[in-house]
Amino acid sequence: MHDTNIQGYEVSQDVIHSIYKDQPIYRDLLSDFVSCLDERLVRGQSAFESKSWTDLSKIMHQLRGAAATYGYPTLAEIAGRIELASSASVVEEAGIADSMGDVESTCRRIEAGMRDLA
Amino acid sequence: MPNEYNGRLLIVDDDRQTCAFWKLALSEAGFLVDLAHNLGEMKDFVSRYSIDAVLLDLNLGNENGLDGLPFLVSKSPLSKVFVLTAHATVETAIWALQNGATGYITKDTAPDEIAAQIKKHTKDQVAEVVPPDLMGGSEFARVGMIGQSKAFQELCSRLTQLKNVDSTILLLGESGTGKEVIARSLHKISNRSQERFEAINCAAIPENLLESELFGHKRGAFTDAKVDRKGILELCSQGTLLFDEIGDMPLSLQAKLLRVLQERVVTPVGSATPIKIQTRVIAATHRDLIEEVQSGRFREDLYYRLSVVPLYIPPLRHRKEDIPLLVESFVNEFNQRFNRTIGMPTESVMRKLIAYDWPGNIRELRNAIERAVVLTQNDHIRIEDLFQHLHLPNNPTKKTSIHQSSMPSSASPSHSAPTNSSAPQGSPTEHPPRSNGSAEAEIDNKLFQLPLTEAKQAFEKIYLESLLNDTGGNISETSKRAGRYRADIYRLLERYDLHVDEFR
Repeated sequence: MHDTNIQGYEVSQDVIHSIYKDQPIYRDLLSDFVSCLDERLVRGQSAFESKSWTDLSKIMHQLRGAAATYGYPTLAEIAGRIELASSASVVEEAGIADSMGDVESTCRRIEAGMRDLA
Repeated sequence: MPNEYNGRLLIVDDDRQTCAFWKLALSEAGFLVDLAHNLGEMKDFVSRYSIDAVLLDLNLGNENGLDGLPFLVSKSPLSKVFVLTAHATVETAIWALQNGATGYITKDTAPDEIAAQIKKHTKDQVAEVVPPDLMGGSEFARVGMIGQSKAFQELCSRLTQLKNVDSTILLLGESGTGKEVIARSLHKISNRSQERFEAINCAAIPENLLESELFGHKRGAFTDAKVDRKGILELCSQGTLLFDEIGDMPLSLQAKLLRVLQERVVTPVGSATPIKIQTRVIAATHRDLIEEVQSGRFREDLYYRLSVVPLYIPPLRHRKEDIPLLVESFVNEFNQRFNRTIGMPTESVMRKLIAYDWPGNIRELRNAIERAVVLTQNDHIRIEDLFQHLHLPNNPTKKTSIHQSSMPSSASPSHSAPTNSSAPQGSPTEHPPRSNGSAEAEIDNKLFQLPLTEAKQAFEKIYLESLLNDTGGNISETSKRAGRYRADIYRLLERYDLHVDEFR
């Protein structure tokens, strides 16, 4: 099953592949990036739980840039949403909580996509 | 790296995975890529190498990447700076472009598009070739050398003679005299002008990195050698390589460089296969290499190999007629950069600019003009802004008890800033009074507040003056007491602008 994400790249609802998945030179780096997603999520979750909004904004900014670089625009878009929300003058916690859930599920789909390629 | 070499890039981004991706992608596109994760690391790289383009991330953790832009524009004016951002805003883009950036790149841009964008802009630099029919001063003005004095004309004349000769050239001269500008100009007017010009600062690169930088390495040659990397000598094999601050090159590498210059081959670290090169080598130093040889810090054989054609770059105090032209050029440059309309200095200000000795040479003059253009509230340059650096509370030049004539370089009160009083100090034809008392009495703790190089120079000048006083200007006796050759003494007299007749 497929849908179209914000950048127009076709993705499966179950798995997400990088737009660079067919370029062998990037294979090892993509694998490294995906294997570190959990670590980024844990840091983000910790900042969220302690309501360290500045830290959360920075972590999500990095994730947004890295995801865009590695060819995962969907993840970049969601991380960007959290970055913006956590740096707002009035932080809407419930909205951020929802987006944190979206980030996690998107990361799982990316990990599944990577396993798919292996 | 592919055979095509498109230049040296520096990526400044605090996310290491993002850096790793760009490094691989842009290396594939023919760039030599270095990485910095904060502004401090960025500044280190800029001081070491001649960098064609910088990709500067906006958000560097606790730092704002844009804060690094003025440094890049000032210290590495030939580098094209692209602001790297996850998401571009119009405000950011406008700010970056107004402050000297060439463009901005969003992180979701495909690597080949980024490579094309960088190549387009860095190519302009390589293509900036001077038409061969332009002769004399205008040819050099086109490549950024400004002047009309006799010393400048003689320099241009020598450069014209040397432009298409592949012999190694040794540029000698004080700090700030523009040795890199001259090396670059020589490349631009030469028959290698379509090829690469690279510069490395031997004093700024850690010893353990320098060998790999120069000769390249094979994958696995050492812990961090994840891929093969060509050395800078091979990358600009058809072009020109400037070894800046060659006097600071570690002895261990001097032997290897000598072999490269003699045999015209390089052997990458971890490889047994030599590679032929045709690189034109220019070396530059502010040090007295003969003295370095005598003290065992520089190989004599390398000195003779490098100094096939020595070229002395005169200090600014020996070409004061050029100051008005340089001032005009810098005022125009900074007006453009800071979007200001500051007029040329008045006649009285210009007189003071000419009277001052500029121990930091053209670099000091350029910095003074930049400061004055930035700080002035009006539309004219103020004398107090020009010489503000000499009036800082901790500036040793202000309160030092070392005799005025005894302080060379930036510490010299004989070079002290002209005040707002009517008569300019230290006119070029005047010689300051010589020290009469004991040198020891004149040295106080202020000497210890100077950077080591300046402190050594300050002491050397005091020492020489003291000996010349004691010997009544007798060079043979002075050289005997100093334990140096007469030629060394003459060289020191020239360096410190001392006139032996005044001690007789």
